[in-house]
Amino acid sequence: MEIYSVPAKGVGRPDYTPTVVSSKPVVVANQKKWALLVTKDNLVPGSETIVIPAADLGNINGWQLNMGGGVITCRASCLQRVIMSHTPGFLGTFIYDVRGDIFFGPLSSTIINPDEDLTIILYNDDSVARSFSISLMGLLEKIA
Amino acid sequence: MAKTEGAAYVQIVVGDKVVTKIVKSVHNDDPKETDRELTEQYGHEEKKKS
Repeated sequence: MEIYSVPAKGVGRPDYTPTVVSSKPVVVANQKKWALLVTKDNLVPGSETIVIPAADLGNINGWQLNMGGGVITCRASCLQRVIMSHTPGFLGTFIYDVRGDIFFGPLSSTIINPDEDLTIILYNDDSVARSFSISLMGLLEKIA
Repeated sequence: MAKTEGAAYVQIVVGDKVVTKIVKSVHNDDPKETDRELTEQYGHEEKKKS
């Protein structure tokens, strides 16, 4: 009977898994999980500017919002785009077809400071009305 | 081509609380006008550099 043996890591071959990345965000003291969902049904062609006040976002004085990422969908195959900004700052322009994954990089890389509103400009570049959804996730952190 | 004021439903999760808000939104039938406004708002810094 042949016995199959697995060589130990780093023995005889390169170790391609030197670190373990956790997929579960860890919320510690003075941090709150944060998520946002915007839906827009039957949006006629054009642009829809949606302003979400800082007070509604939760990044009031003493807290800052660290954006992590998000998903945007349109219920039809067509190149669509969304622009997100805050004051003062620009999160970016994202172009997608049906579904787009938005990555802001590490949680600390895109910060929305206290008292900054979030502006989402949703474009319907199609010739007929379409339905959209945007979900964003991040972390609120106490800074004072 | 016109701008129309409307509303959008937003659901926000902060910690263990879930709140649903109705926020203002503005629809523009001409998306290129929105692009121009954005360029005016954010493009002036680029002009200063050049």
